[in-house]
Parts: sequence; C-alpha cells; structure tokens
Amino acid sequence: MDLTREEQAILDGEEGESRQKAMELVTALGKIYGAEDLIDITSAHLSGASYKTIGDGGLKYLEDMAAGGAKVSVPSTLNPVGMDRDRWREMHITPEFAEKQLRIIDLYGEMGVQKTCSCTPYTGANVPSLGDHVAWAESSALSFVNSFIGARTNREGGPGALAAAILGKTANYGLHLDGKRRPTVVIDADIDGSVFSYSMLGQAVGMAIGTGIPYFRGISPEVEEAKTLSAAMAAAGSVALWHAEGATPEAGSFDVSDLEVIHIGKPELEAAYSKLNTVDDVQLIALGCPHLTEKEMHQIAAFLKGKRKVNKDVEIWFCTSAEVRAKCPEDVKVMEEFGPVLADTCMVVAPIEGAFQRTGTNSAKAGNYLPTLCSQKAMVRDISALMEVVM
Amino acid sequence: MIVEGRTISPGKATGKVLRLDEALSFLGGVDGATGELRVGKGGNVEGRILVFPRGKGSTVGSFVMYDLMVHGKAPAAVINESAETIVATGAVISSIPMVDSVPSVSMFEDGDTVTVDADAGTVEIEGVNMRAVVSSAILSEGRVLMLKRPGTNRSFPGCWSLVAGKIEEGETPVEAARREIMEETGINVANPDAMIHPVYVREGSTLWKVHPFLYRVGHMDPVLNEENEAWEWVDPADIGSRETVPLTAEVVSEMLSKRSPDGDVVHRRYLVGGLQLENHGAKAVVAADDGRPRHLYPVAVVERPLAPVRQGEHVLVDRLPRLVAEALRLGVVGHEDLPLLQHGALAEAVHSVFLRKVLVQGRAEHGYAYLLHSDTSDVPVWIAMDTLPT
Repeated sequence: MDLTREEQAILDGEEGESRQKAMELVTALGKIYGAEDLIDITSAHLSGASYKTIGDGGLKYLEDMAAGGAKVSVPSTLNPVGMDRDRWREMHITPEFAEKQLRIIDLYGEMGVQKTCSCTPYTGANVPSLGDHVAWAESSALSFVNSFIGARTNREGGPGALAAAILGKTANYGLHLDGKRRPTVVIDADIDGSVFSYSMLGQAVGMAIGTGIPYFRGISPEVEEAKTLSAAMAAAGSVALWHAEGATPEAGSFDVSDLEVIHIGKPELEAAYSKLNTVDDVQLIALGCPHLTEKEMHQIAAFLKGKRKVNKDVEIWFCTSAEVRAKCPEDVKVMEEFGPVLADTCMVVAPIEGAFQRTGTNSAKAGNYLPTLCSQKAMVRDISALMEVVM
Repeated sequence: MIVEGRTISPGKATGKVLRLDEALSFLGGVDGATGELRVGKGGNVEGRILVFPRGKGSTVGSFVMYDLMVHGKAPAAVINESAETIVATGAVISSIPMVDSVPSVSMFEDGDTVTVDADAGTVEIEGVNMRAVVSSAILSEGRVLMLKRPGTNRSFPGCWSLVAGKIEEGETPVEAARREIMEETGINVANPDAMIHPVYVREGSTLWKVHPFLYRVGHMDPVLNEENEAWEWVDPADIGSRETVPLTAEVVSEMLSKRSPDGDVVHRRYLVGGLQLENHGAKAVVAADDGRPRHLYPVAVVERPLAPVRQGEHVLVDRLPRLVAEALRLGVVGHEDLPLLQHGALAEAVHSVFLRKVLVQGRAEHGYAYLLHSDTSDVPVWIAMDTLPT
C-alpha cells in the first residue's frame, strides 16, 4: 500500500504504541482487500460493545487499549450493548454481567467514544453527509448511511472501526471507490409499502442475491422503511449498499439497462415469511431492531392507547436509543403499560437465552439472528399481529 | 526451503507446525483460556505455528485470539492461504505474527520446524527441499492414462500416478511435460489442452511442486520405459479408489472441469505483451488469447504515479512464469523478446526487477497489470495481466 510519510511514521511507532497498533490493523485489512492507500474519515461507528458478544477477551482488549492511551480522533458513536444501562435489572441480567458491561461502556468513553449505545446513530448523534467517507461497523447502520444518505463506508469490523477512529483514516477500497458503488442487479419490488413489507422484501432480496448492490424499482422508502430494509438485507444476505430509483441520492447516476432483473412479489415475500417463522407462540415480544425512531414510538403508542395487555405470560420489550426515549415521554408512558421501553440494547445482543426460548419480532434482521445468536425459535410478524398475541 | 508469503501481522517466531485442512473459526474452535483445539485432530495451539487455509465464523473470534494471548496460550504465529478480517484482526491486536498467501497448507506437516518472518513475509520450513515436477493426464475417449510405479521407486513406490517427472534445468514445465510423456509412454503431444495452478505434495523431507497438465489424444496404447511397470486407461471417477500419488483424483477432476460441456477446451484468458513508456504515461500493447493470438490493441494508460512493489512479491513469482509460458505457447512473443526472463531463471529475474503497477483504464476490478523494469535501466521488458477486459 502507498502510505504517506506520516502514515509510515505511525506504523513505525513514532506516535506511540496504540496508534502503531491501529495503523497495523488498518493496513493489514487494507492489504487483504486490495486498498492502494488510506483515506481520511469524518466519523466512525463502532460495534463490539455488548459483553455478551465480546466476552472477557474483548473486555481485556478494551482495558489494554484504554490503558495504552488510545483516543479516537473523529466523532465516534457506539453500538447497542447487552442491557439497558439503568434498567438492566428488569432484563434478567446478573450483577456480574452488569458490572462488566458498564465497564465496557466506560472504557469506550475513556477513549473518547460517545456512549450512545444505539444502532441508529444517524437519527441525531452521528449524521454523515452525502459523499462523506466514514468507517462504520454495524451492518444495518452502515447500509443505511451508504444507501439512504450516500456516505461511503465498507463493512468495518469492531476492532477495525476502532482503529480507523483512532487514526481518523481507513483503508481506501470497496465502497469508498466510485467504481465499486454501481448496482449489480435490479429488483422490481411489488410490496404493500408497510414497514413490515420492507422487512420481508429485505429478507427475500437477501435470500435471492446473497451479496451485491441491488437497485430497487417500485419502492418509496423513508427513514423507517430504509433502516428496516437495510437491516433485513444485511442479515439475510450481506448487502452493504443499495439504491432505489427516485428515493436514494446516487440512484439517478446509474444506467441499469444491462443488469439482470429479479422480481420480488407475493410468492417471494411469502417464502421469506416462512423461512423466518419457526414458532407460533412466544414468551417475549421484542420490537426495535433497528432501534425505534421517534415516529415509530408515536405510531406504537397510538396503536396501544386505550388497549390492555391481557396475556401475562408474554413479556414485551420496546428497544430504542436513550436519545429517542428521552424525547418521547408521553409515548413511553403508554408503552410502559405493556412492557419496558429499554434503551441501549436489543434482543440480539442481550443475553435473553437464559430467560426465553421463543421470541416474536417484526424485524427480519432479528428473525435471522435470534436462532443463531440467542438460541431462540422466532416468530416474525407485523406489529399488530404480534400485539394480538397479548391482547 | 523458504516460502514467499505476504505480511499480515508483523513479528518473527519459530515453532512446530500444527496444521488444519479446513477453515477455522476461533469462536467455538479454540478455547481462549486453555488453547485447546476443539476441531480437527485436537491438540493445543500454544506456541505452535498454526497453519490453516483461512478463518471463518463470528467476529468474536478476534477476541478469542486476544484471550489466548492474555492467557499465554497464543500460537507462536499463524499461516493462512488467504487471510480474512477476523483472523487478521485477531493476529494484529494480539501481536501474533501472521503471513498469508502461501500456496497451500499441504506444504506443511504437523511437527515441521518452521520460522515465520512476518516482517519479510517469508516462512522457512526446516529440513525440507522443494522439487518441481510435472504431472500429465493423458485423456483418450474419456479415460485417463494411469501408470504404476515399481515397488522399488524412491517416490511413492507401488502407487499409480499420471505421467510424471522432474523438471530439468533450463526447461519450462510445458517442455518437461512433453519430454516426460515421450520418454515414459512414447506418445508425442503438442500443446496442453488444460493446465491448472501448481499443487503441493509432501513426501517426508521433499516438497513436490507439481505442475499439472491435461492432453487430449486419439486412441493409442503407450509403450512404457523402465520407470513404470504397468499402464491402464482409467475412468476418472475410479481414480480415487486406487492407491495413487496424493491429489491425483482432485487434480484430474479440476482440469476436466475446465472443459466446456461439449468438450471444447476452455482457454485461460491471459494477456501478455509489451509496453512503451512515454514520460509519465504508458501505453500497454497486448495480445489476447481470443482465438486471434496475434491481435494487438492498446489497453492501458497509466493514470497516476506508480508505486514500487516489494521485491519477491509472491503473486508475481507464481503467476508470471505461467503467463510467460502461455505467451510463448501461443506464439505471441518469442524468446528474443525476453532478454531478462529466461525460463527457469524467471523467478530469479522477478526478484531482481523493479515492479510497477498499472491500472487498466476503468477496469481495475478485472485484475492488475504489472509492468516490469530491469533495475539497471528504465526500459520496460514486460507487462502481464491476469484477466482479459471484456
């Protein structure tokens, strides 16, 4: 790789060990992916924050990084963690887990990372602009900023994103390059336009193409639809960038006339639905994957107002960011009649397998990860169908 | 012998090999506290030179590697065929030396004493010598000619093999294959119908670097020399059920798959040609294997200042001899065009030339073009590309 004199100096250790290790990691990854050089970034979003996922090995890594004086040099936000920082006792979390989880959050804070603990930082805490080069981990968030905003990031891993945040640079390959952002397949979508239909669409497309850059025709996503679609395709496949005719900033710059066209309609959506649904009754209903936006909080509260939770055997969790929860006190009050509105966490990175075996969600992304990461059987339906279970 | 690889995580270490033949997920595959290996033949990774094709699985695997380091159970070094994010990240954050781009894990055996110099990107296997050989599948009426070695043979005695033999000094692999086939079977072949990347077979302290070829011939019976005691035309599907030299069935299968369904040969599409430098720019003039071997057309323009590639970059050493052999075979260039690159000395010459990289205009994703200069003058001698832009 071509490194500048300063970059080489960092690699040689002239700026201390933590920056040297960060540079070793960023250049090693760049080499693997054929990057020719490094590029400056304007922000980072870091994964690898839940104690459930990173464990004692990850905790020790962060201890050593912080002790070594590592500091991020660009605005950086943090992914959800294994519990609500304040209300973890309501989540069947042990004090031992809580202590280590809180320590992880503090260590990121010591390194200058904003302790946002949310997968939707683009709603306020970390909002890139069109064309910004960034280093984001978390597959749904990075896909959202790539696609809906037109920022540029690859699928960074946790330590790689932290290293990039420390340096303010990442390897210049893949989606940082114009030529790599072109669509590879056209998706003619026939959906009813509900947020849930975007979840099923994402599942169907992920199943159909695996990886690639889809170009959608026939959809008009706004933020909620775009984040749902991003999350589903990143989990069912490994899509990091998508375009939608008339709806995303880069879509108009491509000629897609020679691309294969895949039609996604009722049969494909039903197949997606069947793949995800492996159980008919649940013990937990968890909503907010990705984290609920203010609009979704209003919608859910409006739906629940005046209704009663009848089924005492099913818990409901509403997952959102601390930022959004603080902005919607009236909605929170309505929703709390049904279950806790939890911040900082989600059903995928929290250790729910100790308490539950069957979980319902409206998120295709969660539907993919619940069986593999949480040993759950999953039910994936739209919100009103899920709520019927409890009312 | 020394194997050229690529630095992933710096450092140096010596130890004994622990080899896995399948992709490894550290999460689930290795106990981070004890170093116990939970897959393959088991064992413990502590202090070993851990060799496996590539990583897989959860990103938490990087932290399992860190855990190993914290507990003092980390491997001394990691060697991969092809690095990916999880293991590379784990190696770097845990300061475990790591090299990738070794041609095959089968070059190593458990217990080999190996020194990894990740700073140089090299791996040295103690007490092992590499010998280059050819192995040719002669295909007639859908069956492959197999030869049986005498029980007194020094290498894989009593085994069935393809038509194999050592490459002699000054020979290209293609020339060696033709000669061996004539000597061992009396069959006269022209150019190969298929060839694949070299495969590696260990036999004690010898590492055979095998160049496989496939030739289609008409109906004929071989006339053996003293090197083999029996011959038989064998259905490719039955090769695996015989006692053969290792990897014979796999190599035949891979070469046969290079033929299109109606039996026509699928040529690998290499471009080779010459280059003229003009100040800061360069035009690449190349010849294409598209049925018109002498068709020449300009294909590349240097878009920006080029960076030197480290001497001995592995990819080039492995790839260029095949590309040059192909070019010679096609008649696109003659030996007189290659003042520095004479046959067996090619690998040596690649080490000593100064390499530059050229981007094909708008088609960088199809592969790199490499421009070679001699290090005594700026006159370029060669450019080779991996795939044909379409």
